[in-house]
Amino acid sequence: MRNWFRFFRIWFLVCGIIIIICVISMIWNKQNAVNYERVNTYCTESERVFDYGDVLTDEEEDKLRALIAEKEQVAHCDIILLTMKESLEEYAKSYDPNVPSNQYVMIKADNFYDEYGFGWNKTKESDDGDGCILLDNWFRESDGKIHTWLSTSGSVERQFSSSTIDRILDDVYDYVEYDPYRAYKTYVEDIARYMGNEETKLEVPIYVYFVIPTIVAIIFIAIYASGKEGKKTVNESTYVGENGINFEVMYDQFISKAISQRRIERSDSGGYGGGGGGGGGHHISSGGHSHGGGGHSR
Amino acid sequence: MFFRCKNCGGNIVYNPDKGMMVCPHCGGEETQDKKTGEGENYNSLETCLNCGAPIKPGPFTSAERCEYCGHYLIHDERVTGKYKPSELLPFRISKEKAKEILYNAFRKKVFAPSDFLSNQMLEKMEGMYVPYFLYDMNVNGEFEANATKTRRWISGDIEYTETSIFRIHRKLAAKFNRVPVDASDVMPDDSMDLMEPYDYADLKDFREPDLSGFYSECYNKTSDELAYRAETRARNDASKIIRNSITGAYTTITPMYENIDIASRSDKYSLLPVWQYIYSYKNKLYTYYINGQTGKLVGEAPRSMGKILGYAATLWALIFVTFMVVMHAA
Repeated sequence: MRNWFRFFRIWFLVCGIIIIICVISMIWNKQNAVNYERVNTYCTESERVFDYGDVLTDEEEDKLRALIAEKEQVAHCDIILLTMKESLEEYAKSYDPNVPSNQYVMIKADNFYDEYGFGWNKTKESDDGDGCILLDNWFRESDGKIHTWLSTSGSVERQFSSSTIDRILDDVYDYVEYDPYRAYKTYVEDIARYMGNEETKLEVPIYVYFVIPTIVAIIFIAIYASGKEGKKTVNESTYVGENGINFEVMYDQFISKAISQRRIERSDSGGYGGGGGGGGGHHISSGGHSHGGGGHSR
Repeated sequence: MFFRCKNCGGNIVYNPDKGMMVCPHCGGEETQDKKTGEGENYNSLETCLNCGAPIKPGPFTSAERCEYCGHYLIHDERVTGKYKPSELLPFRISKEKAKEILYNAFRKKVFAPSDFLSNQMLEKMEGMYVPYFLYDMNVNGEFEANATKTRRWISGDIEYTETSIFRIHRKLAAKFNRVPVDASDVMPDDSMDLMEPYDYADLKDFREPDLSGFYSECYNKTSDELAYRAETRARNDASKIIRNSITGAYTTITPMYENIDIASRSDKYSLLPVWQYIYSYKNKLYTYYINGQTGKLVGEAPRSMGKILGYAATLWALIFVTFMVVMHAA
């Protein structure tokens, strides 16, 4: 036991210091994070779940409200859910007569967000506050489809690329038909995951936590378990002495030389241009605010 | 025979530190008096010359310690006549030094059982003069090979490859001095090979008192029976020497002809010093050899499975917990 402790004392010390540093940094981070509070004085609306389509039970709505309240603290943005069950065709066309049917929801979502003045850090009318809104309109428009739109604003708009928005909408559509609550819950969780602090968290599969120490332990055993002493310390000239080697014949004779040649095949290939990144579907809403976003239909 | 101290009557032995006979009882130096058995009925292989207790030496044992009185006995008939060694390399490493070497080599092996390096166990270490034949050989070798050198370069759209062909020829005459082959069946050949090299400069003519204080054997097989080991080794070494002499930066070397002959051979029967420590753990014997001249150690530390698992589990848990905390904090 004494040997055991003596052997591991450095390990104990190093691991102990690392753990203490981590705990301190965690506490420090937590205290810092608290300072980042919602500063929107423009919109005092505390409701986040607008179930006009009535696809959720009251209980589910309450659960979503609680979840949103929690995740907004992580994502540092307003997270709004709006469901409807009415045609938006007329409404949208009153703003833009040429709007395609899958973008009726875009106009409604953008306007809804702007009219309420949502946005985590919106302090005056002209600000594009950080936030997002998911509009799921359960009404089948004249094209026979149900349209959904995720509209982003402020930091969310800057941070989410089209593919991120697509991914979130895909996640929502995985469940929306048979379990809308779960679909909207996924939306809220996705926003928190892709935004704010949770996104920077390193995602390590659980098995790695077991594999790494196991590998180290195996290496440790391999090093310490091999107790072999005694390597070969003689070589081919140990017993021949200094004057023991005498080459009576030693020559390398050049015989011939041959040269062959081969044509090198060159293929012409152009480079690929770099793809543009960041930000998805930017546009200015009727209220003059910048929005990002994307839609899916079913 | 055994050697008795003229001053105190105790058993005087060879002292590796001082390089001479020293009586461990009174400190007398070179005060030995050779005692040999007399009488028709006396047989040095059956009774201890000092105390008369019955002894049972192995078939080749030439020197040993009497279990009863602790005297170091030398069996006359196994160190005289055809068994008389011509040379002996005296111990330079004392028992204390040998214990220290073993201790230092293995003390960091945390998986070894606790009593492995205890003084009580190490005290059981014994010095042995191992019978060796040292072979002198003249070796002739001839070697021929075809070799190529390849050079590549590119000019415009064409890649050129130039291949030069060479013929290599070597004739070697090598003199091998004192290639050692252990002549004891008890001592494992591979361990004894690892004891090398010995510094032959210390070899001296055999004298009986040098055996006092140690175990020894006479050769188990004749020098002719064992010569093949020395010859195989000389052939392999000669072949390597030849190949090492090819220093041109060849791309390929294709041997065409190789012949190595042992032109002449002679040998000397010699005794070389080895410390032996035998440790028994879980029905398995672990044997350690220390070159009695250079202190080189050969052997493998025993392992306690419980210790291995305990240490590995500790390490595993430490890393697991630390890693968990770090990843959580990141």
